[in-house]
Amino acid sequence: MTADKGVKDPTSEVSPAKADVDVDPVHAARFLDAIIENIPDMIFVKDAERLAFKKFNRAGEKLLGVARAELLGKNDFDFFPEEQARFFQEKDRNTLIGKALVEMEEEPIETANGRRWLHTKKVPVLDESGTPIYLLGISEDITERKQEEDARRRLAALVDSSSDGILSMTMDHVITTWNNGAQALFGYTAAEAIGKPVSLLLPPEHGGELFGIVERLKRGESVPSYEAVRRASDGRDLDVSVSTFLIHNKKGEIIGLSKIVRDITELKRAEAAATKARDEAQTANRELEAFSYSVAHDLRAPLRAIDGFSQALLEDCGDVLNEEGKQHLDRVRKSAQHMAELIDALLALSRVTRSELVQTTVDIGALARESLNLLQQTNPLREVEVKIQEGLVVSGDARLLGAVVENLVSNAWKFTAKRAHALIEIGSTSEAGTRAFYVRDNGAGFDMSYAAKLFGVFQRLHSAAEFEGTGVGLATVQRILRRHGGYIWAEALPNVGATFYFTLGEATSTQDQKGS
Amino acid sequence: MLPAILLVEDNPNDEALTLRALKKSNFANPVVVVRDGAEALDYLFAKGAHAAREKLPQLVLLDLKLPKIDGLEVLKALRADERTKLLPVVILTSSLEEQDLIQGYSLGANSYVRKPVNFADFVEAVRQLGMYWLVLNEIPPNLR
Repeated sequence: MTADKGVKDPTSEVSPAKADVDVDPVHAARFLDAIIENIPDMIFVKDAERLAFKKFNRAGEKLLGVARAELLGKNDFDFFPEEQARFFQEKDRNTLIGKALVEMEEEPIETANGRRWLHTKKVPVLDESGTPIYLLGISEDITERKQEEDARRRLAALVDSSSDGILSMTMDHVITTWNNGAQALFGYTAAEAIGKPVSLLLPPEHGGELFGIVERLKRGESVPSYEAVRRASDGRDLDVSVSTFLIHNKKGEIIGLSKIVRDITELKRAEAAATKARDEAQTANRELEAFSYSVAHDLRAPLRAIDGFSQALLEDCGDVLNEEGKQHLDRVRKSAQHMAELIDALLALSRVTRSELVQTTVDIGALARESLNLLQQTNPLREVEVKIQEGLVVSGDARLLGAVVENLVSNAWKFTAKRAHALIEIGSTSEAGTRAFYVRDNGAGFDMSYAAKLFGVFQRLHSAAEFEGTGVGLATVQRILRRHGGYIWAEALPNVGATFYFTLGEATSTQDQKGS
Repeated sequence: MLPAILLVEDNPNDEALTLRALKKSNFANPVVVVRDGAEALDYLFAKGAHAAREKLPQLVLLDLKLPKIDGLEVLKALRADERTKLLPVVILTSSLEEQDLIQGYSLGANSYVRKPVNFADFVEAVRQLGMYWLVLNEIPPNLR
């Protein structure tokens, strides 16, 4: 619906300045009409009996989006939803009965242009005997103003509910606003803080940074938040983080500064604790290194003496020793040897935990081939069939992964020693979306019910008589793999063989791997 | 008189075993034993109790963990002095710690050998060391 249909512009008909409005009744009427038409607020008149529209101005047509021709003679129920019409009429009746102005500061009204908010005043028009004959209404469209006010109220609520201290000040640093967060932080109420200079919050030695920041903000630089020290009302110093913003008025002029102040005492405490923990860890690590160094040096020396002097005894006094005596000495020497190996293995284990991982590209297949070649060289009589898959490339510490492969491969070599036709396979498979490498042999295998013990330090599932070893190797392997974010497990059958699987904490791969 | 082998070793067992190993290899050089770092430097620089020392040794077998002044300090001191700068030094020690290896070589040791626990291996190591440093290797000119 357009508003201007059928409305003649009254100003074209009469120019009040020209006609004599005080004398000529026709011109006087037109003069008053012109005034009503041109008032920029909605003006309407209803008759007191039926509350039907008698008069309606242009601003009203624009507001409701209805031409007055449609409105005149009808009442609210013909145009508005029943609820609303009833509400209007109630107010109308109150006005007429009370014979006094009724004001509705905010009333919502559905128009052709959507919902608008009106500030409406209703006034009864009385005849000579004091009986209301008309109802006069004046409505100002306050929709925009209300929206602005609602937005402002929401922001104020945000500021008030914020746990951070939010305050604003003039360019001379006099505090102008102060939220609940600021009160909680500093201890001053709004009444105590507003109007005071911001130096109230600054400990004597601090605050110099304020000046440089304002200049930078004026130049349009964005200034990141910074750490500072502020003083609370009870004299305590507070560690805070401060963000500063310029406040502009509608014209774009700078009228003040606002600051958001956050208490970072807890944060700083956590940082200090973290630094302390890191230092303690480093000290512990250094102590561990010193300990390992001692172990390396001090434990081996007596072993050397045991072995050396046993040998000396054999050589120098061999002729007075019988066979049994010589065997005793042999056992003594072998024990000393074994202990030396254990010490070395433990040292290697501790070194694994201590050292930094150096990530490079590592070819597991190539490492396996190297280890197997070396084993074949030192055991030329053994015939072992080897199958190594291609593409076993991974990211990790080359030295440590080399130790893993060497350990698993030499285990496979060792435990297939009694097989006429030994077979060792190295490859990869897909396990729950991740890539798992495996070293498989057809050797002695083991009973799966003991599988949990496999990786414990010093745990062995075979007697030393069957297969030599320190029982530390797999513990080291597990530790290395754990440090890479991976893990190891095994499947085996006694007298059939064993497969050791391991992962390296790789991201889940969507590629299909070769092999099973 | 053949120049001596200086054995710097604080552990009496290791001392006895090293002497035994050297004897087995039948090297003709006399062996002088000093039992801490300070005494080692006294001997090398002909000071204190060893002021009467005539010739510099042909080879120094140096243990690392020593009382008073430790092995690496001894090495540093003898490399810093003109008289002993070129003296062949073999670090003979229990430790295979990477730090010791790095330090030892950085400070100018000629060789680094880890003492094996197995005596037979130890005898063999000493024999090889002796063959190399006492027989095959050419002595630096100023030490002749």
